Amino acid sequence: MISLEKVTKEYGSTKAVEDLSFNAPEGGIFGLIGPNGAGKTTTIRMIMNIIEPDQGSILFDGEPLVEKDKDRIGYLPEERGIYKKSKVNDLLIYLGRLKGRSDDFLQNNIDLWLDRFQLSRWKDSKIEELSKGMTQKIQFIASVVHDPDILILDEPFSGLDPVSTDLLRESIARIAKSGKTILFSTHIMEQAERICNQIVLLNKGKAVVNGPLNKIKDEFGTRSVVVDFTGDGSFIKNLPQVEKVIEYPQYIEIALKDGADTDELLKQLIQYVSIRRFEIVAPSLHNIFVSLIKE
Amino acid sequence: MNKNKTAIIAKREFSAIVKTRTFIIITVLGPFLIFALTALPNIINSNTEQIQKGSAIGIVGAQKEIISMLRSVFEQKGVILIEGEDEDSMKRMLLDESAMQGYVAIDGDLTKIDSYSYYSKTGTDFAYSEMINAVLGDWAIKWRIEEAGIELERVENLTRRPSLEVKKLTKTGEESNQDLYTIIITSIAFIMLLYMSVLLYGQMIGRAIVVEKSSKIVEILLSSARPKQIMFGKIIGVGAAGLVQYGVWIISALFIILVLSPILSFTLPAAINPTMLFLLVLFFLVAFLMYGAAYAALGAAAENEQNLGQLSWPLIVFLVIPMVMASTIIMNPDSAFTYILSYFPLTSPMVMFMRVLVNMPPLWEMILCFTILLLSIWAIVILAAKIFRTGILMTGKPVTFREIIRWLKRS
Repeated sequence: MISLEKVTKEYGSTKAVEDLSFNAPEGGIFGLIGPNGAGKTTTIRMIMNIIEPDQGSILFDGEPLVEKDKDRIGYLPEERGIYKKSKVNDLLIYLGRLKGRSDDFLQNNIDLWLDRFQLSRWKDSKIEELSKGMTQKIQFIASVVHDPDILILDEPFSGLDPVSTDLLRESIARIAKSGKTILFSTHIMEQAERICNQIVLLNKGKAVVNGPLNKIKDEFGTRSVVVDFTGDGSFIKNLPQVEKVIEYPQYIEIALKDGADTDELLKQLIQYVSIRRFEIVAPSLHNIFVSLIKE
Repeated sequence: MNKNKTAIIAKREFSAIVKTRTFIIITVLGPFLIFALTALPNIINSNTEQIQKGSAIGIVGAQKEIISMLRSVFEQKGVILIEGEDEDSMKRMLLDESAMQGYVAIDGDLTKIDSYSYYSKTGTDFAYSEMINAVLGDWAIKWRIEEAGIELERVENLTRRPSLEVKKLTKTGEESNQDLYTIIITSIAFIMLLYMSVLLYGQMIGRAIVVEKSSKIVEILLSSARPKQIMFGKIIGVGAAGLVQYGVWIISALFIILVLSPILSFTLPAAINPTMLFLLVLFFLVAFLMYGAAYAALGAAAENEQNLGQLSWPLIVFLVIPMVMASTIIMNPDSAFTYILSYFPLTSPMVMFMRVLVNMPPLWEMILCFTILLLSIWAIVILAAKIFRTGILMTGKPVTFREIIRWLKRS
């Protein structure tokens, strides 16, 4: 559906995006993942034709994006602006009209989405009267109000509270289920892991890895074990099965060497510390990313 | 499709402005302003009615004959004449009594002395002093003529000066009777209107774009429309609001001209007529398009409102020049300086309009002026669109002119 071929964009002497190629297939959730400054927003702006790539091409269904295609896309930028003085309904109608939809169509959709987010009673309120969380929901609705085939979300979860995050995740899942294509960017690996079918991992403007998430995990993942314990665990990193230890506040994650025996590891741990949890997990995207950029 | 999105943006911009309190207030106050302007020259010119009924004037040291004559003249105007014993008592009365306007002190025979005095609290109540001057002076001259045994009527006939009437000849052959004073007042009023509305609406565009840019909503707009559509949408929307305002004003003015003026039978300055009003709208439109496009570009380039203010000073300078030079231009409509300004596109809408108000220039000059203007608007719009496209996503630091020129070179 959306494919980038050897796309490069430079700002002065810095390459924001370099030689980037990927393909976001139709009907899936595609994650554009990477730390801050990896080139995610630049990539998205190029896809939206807001800025032009210096080299390479961006194709929609095999064709370069023309102005009319913008009507099929819903876009939630990272830095979200809004007309604070506008009324909720007026603003949504206006942004939907700019996508070429009729007022009747838009009104149906607006009512549906406001209801879903329990914002119906704010329909005729000015945006400035809304809380921050409500405003963020309105901003999301603004990107889907014209029922786009493709939804592009730049860091959609940033700044959302947990309840809103869940609500948004459900909405994204619902839209994906109806056969739409979703492309979204995030710097939070855990989120991407939970949502995406396919990803491209970006670092310093370059793709580190790219493809279906489960395939990437099979390919690059060393298995790992999550252990929650009390006692002095400083010896763990020196055990023969252990590749690396990542410490989290509540637990540690142990990346295992190839062919490591987890039973043996557990036996050794039990001798020195008291175990509360011992769980064999698929490797996290975080680990894959960290190990890949180290190479 | 393209035009449609421009129209959607224009429509939103238009209704956002038209609903604001400022717009409504200015639109409603405008007609009153116009009415005041049309009536003002008349009011200022008629300064004879400043003598108040019931006020008092004192006189001291005058002959009986003078006093009785002056009394009869003053009584017609409702002014009381008080005969004083001596100057000291008059002085006291003047300073203590509020009804006393002033007093005349004559030292000697009025027909023989060179001068006499009028004392008043303000020293500027010309209506009184001129009346006294006329009445007593005429009396003294008459007295001397009669004393010399010459027939008064003869002298009057011999010394009568033919009066000069200043008239303006227009192309249509009509003669209109207007003095320089009226021309200047109405011209300045019109130019003020033009200047204020162009500045107001130009800045409105610039500010709206800066706000959208800094609030980041522009990125959402850019995901739906081209930069050019956004820019033109703004200019057209704001311009339409301006035209609606002018529409209200012009209809009010026409109402005053065609309905009120015959009923209340007051004469309007000749400059206020339907042709001039039509030209006013036309000049507003071209000036607005030019400055609106320039402001749109600067709004897109600017980082914030302060930065916009810094960037827009050249526009303000060119808007202000015709204002500051207004009376010079009106009094020297044929000077080379006026000619240059009336063709230079950033000043021509206002300066050419001033020339039109004073003396309608030949048609070819108007055509030339508008051709230059339209070409300049076209050029400015192209430049503005380029600056807009580059500037609209630039954030981080205030922009300088050097930078804007670099953008233009690059694109």
